[in-house]
Amino acid sequence: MKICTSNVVSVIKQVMRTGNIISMFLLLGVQLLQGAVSRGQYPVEKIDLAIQRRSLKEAFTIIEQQSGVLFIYNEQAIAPYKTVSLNARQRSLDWVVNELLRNTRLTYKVQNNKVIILEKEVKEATVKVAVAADPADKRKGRVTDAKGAPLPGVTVQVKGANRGAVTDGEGVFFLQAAESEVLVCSISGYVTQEIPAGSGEISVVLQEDIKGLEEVVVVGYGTQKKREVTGAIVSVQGKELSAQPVTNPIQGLKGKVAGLDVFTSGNEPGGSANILIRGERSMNGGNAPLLVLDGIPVMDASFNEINPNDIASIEVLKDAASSAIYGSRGANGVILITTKRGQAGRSVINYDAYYGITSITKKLDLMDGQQFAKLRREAARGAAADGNGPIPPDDQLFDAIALESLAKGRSTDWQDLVYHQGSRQNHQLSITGGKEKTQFAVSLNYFRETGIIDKTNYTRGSIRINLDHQVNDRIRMGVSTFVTRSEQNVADNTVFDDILRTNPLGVPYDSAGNMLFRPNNDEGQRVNPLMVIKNTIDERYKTRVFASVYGEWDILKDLTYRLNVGPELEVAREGIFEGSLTDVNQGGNATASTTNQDRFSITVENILRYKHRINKDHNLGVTLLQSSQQQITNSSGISANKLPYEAQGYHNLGSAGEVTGVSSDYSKSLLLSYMARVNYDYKNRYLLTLTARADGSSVFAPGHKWGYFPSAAAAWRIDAEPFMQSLRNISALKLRISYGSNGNNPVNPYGTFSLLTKGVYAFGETGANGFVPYSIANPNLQWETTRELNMGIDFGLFNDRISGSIEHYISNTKNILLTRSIPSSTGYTNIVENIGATRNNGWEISLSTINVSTKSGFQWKTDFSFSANQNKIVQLYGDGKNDLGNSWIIGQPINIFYYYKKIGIWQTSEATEAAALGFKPGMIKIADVNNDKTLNDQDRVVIGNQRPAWLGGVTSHFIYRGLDLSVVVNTRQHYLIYSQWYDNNNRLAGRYNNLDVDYWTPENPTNDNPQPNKNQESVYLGQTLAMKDASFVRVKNIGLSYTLPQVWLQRSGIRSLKINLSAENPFTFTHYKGQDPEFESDGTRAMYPTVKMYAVGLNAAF
Amino acid sequence: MQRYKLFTFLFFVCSWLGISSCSLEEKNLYKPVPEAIYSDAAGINNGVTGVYSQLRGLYGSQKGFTLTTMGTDIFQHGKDGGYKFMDDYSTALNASAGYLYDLWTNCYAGINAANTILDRIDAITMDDALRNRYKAEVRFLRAHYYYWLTLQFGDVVYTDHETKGVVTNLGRTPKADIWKKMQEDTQFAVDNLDWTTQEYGRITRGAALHQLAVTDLLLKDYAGAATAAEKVINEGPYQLLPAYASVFDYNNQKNAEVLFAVQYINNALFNGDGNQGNAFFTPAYDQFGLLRDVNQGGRPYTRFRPTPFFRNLFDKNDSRFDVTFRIYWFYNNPANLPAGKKLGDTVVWQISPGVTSTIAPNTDNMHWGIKKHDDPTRASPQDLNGFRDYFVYRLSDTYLIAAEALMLDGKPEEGVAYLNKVRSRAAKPGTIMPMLSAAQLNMDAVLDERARELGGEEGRWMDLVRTGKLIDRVKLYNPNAANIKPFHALRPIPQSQRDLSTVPFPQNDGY
Repeated sequence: MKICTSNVVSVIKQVMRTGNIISMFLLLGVQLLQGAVSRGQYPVEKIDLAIQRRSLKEAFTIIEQQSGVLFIYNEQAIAPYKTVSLNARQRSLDWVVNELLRNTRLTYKVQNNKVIILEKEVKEATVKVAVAADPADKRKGRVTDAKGAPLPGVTVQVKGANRGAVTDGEGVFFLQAAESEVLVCSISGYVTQEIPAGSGEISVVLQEDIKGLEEVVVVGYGTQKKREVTGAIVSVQGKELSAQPVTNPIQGLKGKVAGLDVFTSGNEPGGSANILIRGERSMNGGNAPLLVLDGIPVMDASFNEINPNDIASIEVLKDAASSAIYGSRGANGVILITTKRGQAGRSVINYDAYYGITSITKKLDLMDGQQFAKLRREAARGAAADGNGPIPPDDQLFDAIALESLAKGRSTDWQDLVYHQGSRQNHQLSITGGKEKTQFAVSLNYFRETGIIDKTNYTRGSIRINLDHQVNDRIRMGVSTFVTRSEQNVADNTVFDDILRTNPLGVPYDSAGNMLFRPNNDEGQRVNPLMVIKNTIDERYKTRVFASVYGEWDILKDLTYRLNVGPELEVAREGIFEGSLTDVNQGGNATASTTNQDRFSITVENILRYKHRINKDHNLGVTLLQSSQQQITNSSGISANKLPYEAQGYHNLGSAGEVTGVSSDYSKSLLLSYMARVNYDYKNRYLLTLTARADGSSVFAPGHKWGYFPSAAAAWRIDAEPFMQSLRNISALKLRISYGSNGNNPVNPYGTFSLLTKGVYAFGETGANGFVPYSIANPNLQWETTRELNMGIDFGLFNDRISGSIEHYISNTKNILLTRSIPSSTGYTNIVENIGATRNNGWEISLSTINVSTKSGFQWKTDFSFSANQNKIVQLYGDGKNDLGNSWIIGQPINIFYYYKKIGIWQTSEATEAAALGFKPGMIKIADVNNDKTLNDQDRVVIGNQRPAWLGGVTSHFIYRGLDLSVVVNTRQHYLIYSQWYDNNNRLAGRYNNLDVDYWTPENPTNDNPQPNKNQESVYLGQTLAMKDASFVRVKNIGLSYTLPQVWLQRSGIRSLKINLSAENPFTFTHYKGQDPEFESDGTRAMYPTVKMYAVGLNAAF
Repeated sequence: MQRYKLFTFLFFVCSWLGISSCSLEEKNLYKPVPEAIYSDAAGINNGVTGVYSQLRGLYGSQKGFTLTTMGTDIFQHGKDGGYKFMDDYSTALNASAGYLYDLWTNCYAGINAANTILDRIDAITMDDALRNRYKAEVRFLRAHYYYWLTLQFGDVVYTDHETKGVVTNLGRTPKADIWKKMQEDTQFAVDNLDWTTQEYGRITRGAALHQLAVTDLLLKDYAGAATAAEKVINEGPYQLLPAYASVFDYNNQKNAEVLFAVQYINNALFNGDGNQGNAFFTPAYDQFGLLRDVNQGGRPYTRFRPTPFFRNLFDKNDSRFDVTFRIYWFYNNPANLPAGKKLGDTVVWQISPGVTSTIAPNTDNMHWGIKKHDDPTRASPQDLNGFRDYFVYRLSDTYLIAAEALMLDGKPEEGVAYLNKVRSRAAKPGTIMPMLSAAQLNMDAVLDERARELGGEEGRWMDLVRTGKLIDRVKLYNPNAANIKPFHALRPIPQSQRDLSTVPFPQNDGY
């Protein structure tokens, strides 16, 4: 293993000798990753401050803007201090705050990265009151934050009365209040809450007001305050993700981020998801965004091993200017995941759990026994030349079992036999805490899903440890680690085929109750799906270790060096066993195979960050980075036949009678990068970000290895302009514009070489190894580049009752790396090339509104996201010609269906016309597009786009006191899928069971489906029946949670307790009649169906 | 002090990181690249083997059988399978048919592999005799792939150099021109190969002469064809086996009658997808209470069923009937034994109400099988991947080619003698087959004899096309193929080839 930092290291050594720190700054890459790692710590920055005769409140505002620290205070308490002055140069925040409060009656404490201003006398006074209080007169109450920490300084006012109190250091207040009166609790930084006084001790939990623009956003190699962000970045907080009972965090993002399309790529327990940000740019399948975990780009964009409960936030970098800092791999957007870190203070133990029952969302409408029998008779009739042959007697069409079923009216519903309820459960125990210098976050997680068919499940156990340590004034270090082990048992896809296609007149068990291998005898290849389940094993184990270490060193006051070292190891193993009595082996020999793969990646990043305020109006930040990432993959596998005994599964392949395959593979790739970023703002109103990145990738041939990706972004904070200060209804307004370029290299290692593949043969009794040409060399492969213009506006109106952003972008991708089919007369079928150009343009709208907020404490909030992306091919080979062989048409999207258009079924009255074209009544009728009275390849047209025209989501919260009802709805609209379910299960040959469709017969002149014909393996032009519009609206999640009043828990030792009920995928609205519009197959026939879940859960903090 | 400690710390960390230098070169290339493989004699040998390996996609595969068996005069479709349109010649037989693309791709992969060897072999330091032998084998194979392409598709792309870069501008070369090239290639093989080889399965002079005769027939060089075929018969180390049955004896696969056989081997690592011929002709006998059985046809694919014409084509003394057809089945399922029968008894079939027979009926649901591809050594009837060698050229075929060539060359007496030799060998022991007279020798007689001798082996469809008899005979003898039209003598060019070509690539007429 080589770690490639030599260039940098030699410079460092030299610098060490000369002590010339500045030259090191110039040559090293880098930046302070403050937010990603030190979020939640006491701010370490030194500040400059010059305040002349301002109010204390204004002074706090100025410090807030400069330091990012939030001040929390009671307005009344600080109101008297109208003129303060202070001159500070490079003073710590401590010093500044102390100075400001020197001659006041105020003091402060630091909590959760916030400075809370308290009245010195408050505590004394309330205690006095408490002692003096008549218990019948004064009521005791306590205010805490969502995590259970007491909130001091909160104003508690009796509504409509001139009575009030302020909480003490323990969050306690005493107040005279009748049961029917309403208390208003307010403090800056938290959402004001009104609660009825009720009886007994009053317990109030205030929610942090995260709507404000002070939110900190992770931007890659650093953080920024949200108001300073110049690009299109969406941040989703961890608690929004963990509120839904999903397997992996990305599923929780569905419908929440405008421009992010998350669609399932498998429903089985442990199934994953596909992600697209702003549509497809590349045609080569490399459209998955880059995933960065705690600052380290990970090699496997699989989210399955990342536990949603561990996530502090997910940031989605959408525009080119934002993602350009990840240059080469930012073309498809970047997803940054930041995990939770510890905070100094009292240790908090959290236990989160849920348990849910899963079941199939929708059974397919298949034919029952009688319907199937009719189909088979019609198929025999339809096979005649004139489509109206004699229908043979049943005893020639059905075997004894089927005949008996027909006589008895017996029918087997294979779906009912195989599908049952499954379950999903998750348990997470976490402990966070720490002292001044060391903070920790440790979590243990156990997840298990049991599928809706036997022998399918997914179990995951993981341990996460995040540590941060302050070595001394200048040096910090920390680790982010997790270890995950998962086991997935999946069902063979033939199970689903057999469920759908096995004759419903067959029976699963014989009269003695023994499971039958073949449910009936008239179709030799169909196997009882229960038998396949029983005799098949497919186990997948995955161990993933991710351990990144960082060190940070404040070289100078403004200059910080950071080193990230992120090794990642993934070991995967799959074992497959197929017994004799399975669909695959059909009573023959048992077969088995194992494959092992280990992947190792190491990322080393040197980051240097410089931050300087030139005078009070000019802020400059510079980030320099040098990084390398190396990946090595090793794999091997063996498959065997003739297992001497089946009980071995795949664990004793040495005993097999025959080895049928042996494989091993190795690949290695390296990426070297240099990046520089400059952030500049003038008066906090005019913001500019400039980025440049150079990436060198080993996968390209010499001369094409390096790509350069610059970008620029500017923003104007209109709300900070003096002339805006009088417009009280506008709380935030920012215009953004960015233009940037980034690259993509979805080329496999060694992808530029011409390669040979094995072509084995034999001469006589001797096996012979051979090689045949396999791929064409393409040394000219180069970076695919995308240039994107993004315009955005962020706004907050009516005290943030309405807030959101609107984005518009145009991105041009050229030199697209794509797998291009070529005439196979070359001896090859395809090649990866840089070809052509595509354009994406689109709109994205995010809107958060507080629709209703009543004085009784009821609140209805809505988060709405909408995005529409248009993709089109601008250019292909420069000659203006389309490439029909690849279904690439200039002006059309990349993924379209280009095929014949079905316009109905040939009817009996049209027999002559049909015959002239080679058709007969009952067959699918396609459009003669060019009207030349013949049907040929010229009649193909664009049938539709495979990607939705728009997608959206709505998340609504209804909050009333401790109750929170949330509803997540997402939708994808106007797109076609190629339905494998229709393709495979609507063959209308009467051989296999069929979807219960309306088919043509001479007596039933429908235009939906053609006449059954037993001579067809699949329907002629049946593809036209499988291209279906799959637009849908899905209620993704309904959650109801109740936070128990604090008073109930006082003696239990539980700090807070929330119980919740949730429903996952409860309702779907669609015209598509297959199993599920969102996902049902990746092209491999039938697959595991979509499930819904009803779950109960709890969150407890101790 | 802190700063110095830190310096020290960083110094060590960075030194550790910097121990090795790095490079973006892809050095450790473990994949096989042409520059490495085609660099010495051993590598060239592997490359030549690669050219052979593409033959397996043609012989013993479902694609190969479907394209040559379905829709002929002697076979119609069985119950199952998706390519019945190749039998009834309906609209669905069009440019989208997958097997046509597969065949096209398969042949050109073989051709490109051959071209790559031929372009590079002269630069390799190796024994000249070996070099010439390899060149001869590879040129034979290249011509063989073109034989398939030109017979199936007519005018096709011709290329005799390694493909470098993306080539989309090749149009159709007239098939007669390609046949000339095939003749040159095959002649080179004749001139540079021995009659025998130390590695069984390699091309020999005999195979090359046979292919030359066929190519000459295509070029209407009947004298040349006759000469080549007679050279095999008279000069080669081959002889007709005394009994037709022993040609197909599983334990006698390397016999004196075989000129060229595609090799399969009982070793899964070198057997690829195997010879699957055992399955495709097998009817669904297991749906009549019998167990699947490697000795009774194995796995029932029910793809092809003999036409009534083919069943009735045999003289009663013709031993080839019994060797070719499986008409009897035997009870093998204790659970389903009819009253009064025991295991091993011949199955009695219900032909129609009240009529029974021990000879299997011949309907789509249950029909006669073909025994020539039986592979009883497979461990299970479900294993498609058989080990049986696939005979491409046999001496009796050469006799019939000779007969055809001489007949066309105006020498029916000499021709009929060869044909009659094949007939007389076919007679059951102790019986005599009626012989043909020179006057009776015509193309139909040749094709009838080829059906009897070679029926159920691949090549029938292309024989019919080569002799121009496809339309007449299929219309006459295949009850499913009433729709066949003259244009069906060529297959449609695969749609993707036309779509992906940047020059006009006209479709064959009629499609």
